[in-house]
Amino acid sequence: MKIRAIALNTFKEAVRNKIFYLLIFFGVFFSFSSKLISMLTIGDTLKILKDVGFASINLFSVLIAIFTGINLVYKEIEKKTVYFILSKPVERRDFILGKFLGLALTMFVALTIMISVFSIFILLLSGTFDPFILLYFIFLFTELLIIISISILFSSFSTPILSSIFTIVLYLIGHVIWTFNEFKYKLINPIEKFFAYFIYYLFPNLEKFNIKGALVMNDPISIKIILSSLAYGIFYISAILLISIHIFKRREF
Amino acid sequence: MNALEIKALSKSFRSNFLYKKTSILKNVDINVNKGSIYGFLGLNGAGKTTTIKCILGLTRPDHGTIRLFGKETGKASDRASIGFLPESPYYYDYLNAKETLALSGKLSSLSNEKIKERTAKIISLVGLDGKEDLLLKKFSKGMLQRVGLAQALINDPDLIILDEPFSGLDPIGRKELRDIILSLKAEGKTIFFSSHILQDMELIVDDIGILMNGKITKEGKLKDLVKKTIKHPVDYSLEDLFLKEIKK
Amino acid sequence: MKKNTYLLFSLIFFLLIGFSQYTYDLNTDYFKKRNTFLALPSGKTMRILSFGNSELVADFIYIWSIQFFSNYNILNSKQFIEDIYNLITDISPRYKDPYLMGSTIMAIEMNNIEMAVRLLQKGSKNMEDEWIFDFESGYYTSKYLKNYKLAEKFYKKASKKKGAPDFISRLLYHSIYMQGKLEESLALYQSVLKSASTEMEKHSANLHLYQIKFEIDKRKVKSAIDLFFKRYGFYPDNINELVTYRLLEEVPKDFKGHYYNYDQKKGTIDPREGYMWKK
Ligand SMILES: Nc1ncnc2c1ncn2[C@@H]1O[C@H](COP(=O)(O)OP(=O)(O)OP(=O)(O)O)[C@@H](O)[C@H]1O
Ligand SMILES: [Mg+2]
Repeated sequence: MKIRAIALNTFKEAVRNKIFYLLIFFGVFFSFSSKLISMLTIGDTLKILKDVGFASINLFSVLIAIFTGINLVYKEIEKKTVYFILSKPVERRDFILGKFLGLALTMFVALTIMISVFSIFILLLSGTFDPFILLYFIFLFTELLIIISISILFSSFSTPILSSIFTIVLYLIGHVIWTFNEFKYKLINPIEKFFAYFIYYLFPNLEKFNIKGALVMNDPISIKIILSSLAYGIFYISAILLISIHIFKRREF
Repeated sequence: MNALEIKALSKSFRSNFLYKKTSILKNVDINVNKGSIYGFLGLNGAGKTTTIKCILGLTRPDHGTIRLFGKETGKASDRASIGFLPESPYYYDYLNAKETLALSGKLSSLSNEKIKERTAKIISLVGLDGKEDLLLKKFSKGMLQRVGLAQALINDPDLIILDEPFSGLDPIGRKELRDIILSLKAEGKTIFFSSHILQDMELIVDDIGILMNGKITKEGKLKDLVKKTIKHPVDYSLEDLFLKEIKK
Repeated sequence: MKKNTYLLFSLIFFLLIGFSQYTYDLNTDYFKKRNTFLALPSGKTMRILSFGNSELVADFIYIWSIQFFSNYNILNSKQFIEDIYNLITDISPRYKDPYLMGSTIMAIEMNNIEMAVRLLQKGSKNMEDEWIFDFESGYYTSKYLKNYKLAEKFYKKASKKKGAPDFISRLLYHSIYMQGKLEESLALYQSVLKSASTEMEKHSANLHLYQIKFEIDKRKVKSAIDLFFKRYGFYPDNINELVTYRLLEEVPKDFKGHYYNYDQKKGTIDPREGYMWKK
C-alpha cells in the first residue's frame, strides 16, 4: 500500500516532467526517421527500417531510464522531499522498492508508447506485424529495469553527476563484457583468472538482452535462452535492490 | 507518562573524511509532558533540527534513548503517532495540496475514506480553502508552511513536532497558527516545536527547553522559569530569559 | 547478523547470477560461424551524417573494415567488400590506404582481380598524380590475369606519373614483350641499355635483349624451317642451307654475335649461352 503510494507518486513526478515527453517524442521521431534512412539504400529497406527504429527506441529508452532513475531518486534527497516520506511510518526499504516500481511503471509506459507506435508504423509500411516484437519489449524492459536498479543504487550514496557517469559506464561495460569469453581461455595466472572471472560475473551482462539482431534477421531464440536471460535479469535486479536498501537504511539525512 | 522522553542523547558529525568529528549534541535530556505545548529554544546551529531528526529516525544518534509515550522508538511504525512539519518546505511541487495530503495519508496507512474526511477538515483548519487544486510550485512560502502543517496533521497524530513553524508567516498567519496549536492542545495532543520567534512562543507554551552548546541548560514550566529569575515582574519576558541564558 | 540481512540476501542473488551466467555461457557459442548482413548508406549520406567529420568517419569505417574482414567467424563478410571500400573511398576519395588494402584483400584473398582493379582505378581517377594505383593494377592484370595488353596500358599510365620509379618502365617493357611484340620490345630495351648507368642495369638489359633477340630469331628460323620441311619433307642439315635455299637472308647470330645451336631432329635453334635469363 505504502510502496504503491510511493511508486505512483514517482510515476506522477516522471510524467509531469516535460523531459519525459521530449525523450519519448525523440524516440518516436527517430524511429520514424528510419523511413528516410531506409530510402537511401538499395535492397532490403524493411531491415534498415527496423534496425534504425529499434536502435532509436533503445537509445531513448535507456536515456529515459538513466535520466529519470538518477534524477528522481537523487532529487528526493537533494530537495529533501525524502524527509516528507521518511518522517512518516514508512520503512526505508519501502522507499527504495516504491521508487523502483514507480520508475519501472514509467519505463513500461514509455516503452509501450514507443514500441506500439513503431509497430503500427511498420505495420502500415509493410503490412506485417512481427509477434517477436513482444519479446523485444520484454527483453528491453528487463534491461531497463537493471539500469534503473543500478541508478538507484548509485544515487543512494552518490551525487547525480557521478551516478549518471557510473550508470552510463556500467551500461557500456554491460554491453561489451561478453567478449570476455573470447579470451578467458588465455588466462593462466590464477590471480588474474580470479579477478577476471569475478568482474565478469559481477558486472551486468546486458548484451544478452539485446535481441535486435536476431529479431531483424528472424533468427530463432530458444526458450531456454529466453528463460535463463529473464531469470538472470530478475536475480540481478534483486541483488542490486537489496544492496541499495542496505546502503539506504544506513544513510543519515 | 511523558509524550516524549529523551535521555542522554548524543550526536556528532564528521563533515569531511579528513576532519575529526564535532559533537553537536552532548547528553541531551528532554521531557515533554503529554497534552502540553513544549517550546524548544536554541541559537542557530545549536542542534534543534538534529534533535528532531533523531526523534524521527532520519538520523541515528550516537548514544541515548528516545521514548515516545513510554515506548522506546526505533521502528518505522513508531512514527504513526507523530506528525512532523519540517524546517523548510520540502514537498513535491508537481503535486497540488490535495494530492500532497492524500500521499501523506497513504504513507500513514489511512484508508481512502479517512483521507477524504481528514483532508476536508484540515484544509479549512489551516486556511487553504479554494487552493486545494493549485500545484505547490505556485504556492507562496506561507502557503507552503500551511500545507506542511496540514500534511503533518493528516494522520491525527498524538505528538506533533514542528520545526520553526512560524517562519515565513505573516502576523495574521502567526496568530492563526497559534490558535491552531492551542486548539490541538485542547484536543489533548502534545506539541513540540522549535522557534526563534519568542513572542509567539511565549504566548502559547507550557514548557520550554533551552539547548546551548549541545546541552539542555534550562528546562521547565515557562511560568516557573520566568518567575524564578524575576527582579522586575512586570516586564521580564522569555526573551530576557533566553538572552541571559546565552550570555552565561 | 540482522544488520546485514539485505547484504546477505544480495550475496545469495549474486551467486544465482553467477550460476545463471555460467550455464548461459555453456549454452552459448560465442565463436559461432555466422552470416551477417550489412546495408550501407551511400558515401554522400555518410558525409552528411558525419557533420563535418567525414575523414574521421572514413577512418573508423576503414579500421572497422579491417577487423571485419579479418574475422573469420563471419562467413559471408567478403560479400560486402566492394560496397564497403566504395563507401570509404566515397567518403574520403583521397585516402590512399583503403584502395590499397581493399584491392589487396580482393586480389589475394578473394582472387577477384577485376574487382581489385576496379577499386584501384577508382583511386587512380581520384588521385591523378599517384602512380601506385596504376602500377598495382598493371601488376595484378599481368600476374594473375596474364592480360599483358591491359597491363601495358596500366603500366604506361603509371610510368608517366610524377615520381614513378624506374622499374615500372621495365615492367611496361616486359608486358609489351609478353604480348609478343618482340621488335618493339627490342627497341625499348636497347634504349634502356643506352640509358643504363650501373653495371647491374646494363647486365639486366643485356639479358633481356639477348632473350628478345633470340625469340625473334627463333621465330624467323622456325618459319623458314617449317617452309623447308613442307617443301622437302625433312629438316635441313644446318642453318646455312636455309640461306642457300633463300628461305633466310642470313644466318642469325645471338645478341653477343655467336651462332645458335641447331637441333636437327626437332628443327629448332637454342642459344649457346644457356638459359641465364630464366630461373
Ligand atoms: N549532516 C550533517 N553533517 C555535518 N554537520 C551537520 C549535519 N547536520 C547538521 N550539522 C551541524 O550540526 C549543527 C546543528 O545543526 P541544526 O540544523 O540541528 O541546528 P538548528 O538548531 O536547527 O539551527 P537553526 O536554528 O538554524 O535551524 C550545525 O552546526 C550544523 O552545521
Ligand atoms: Mg533548525
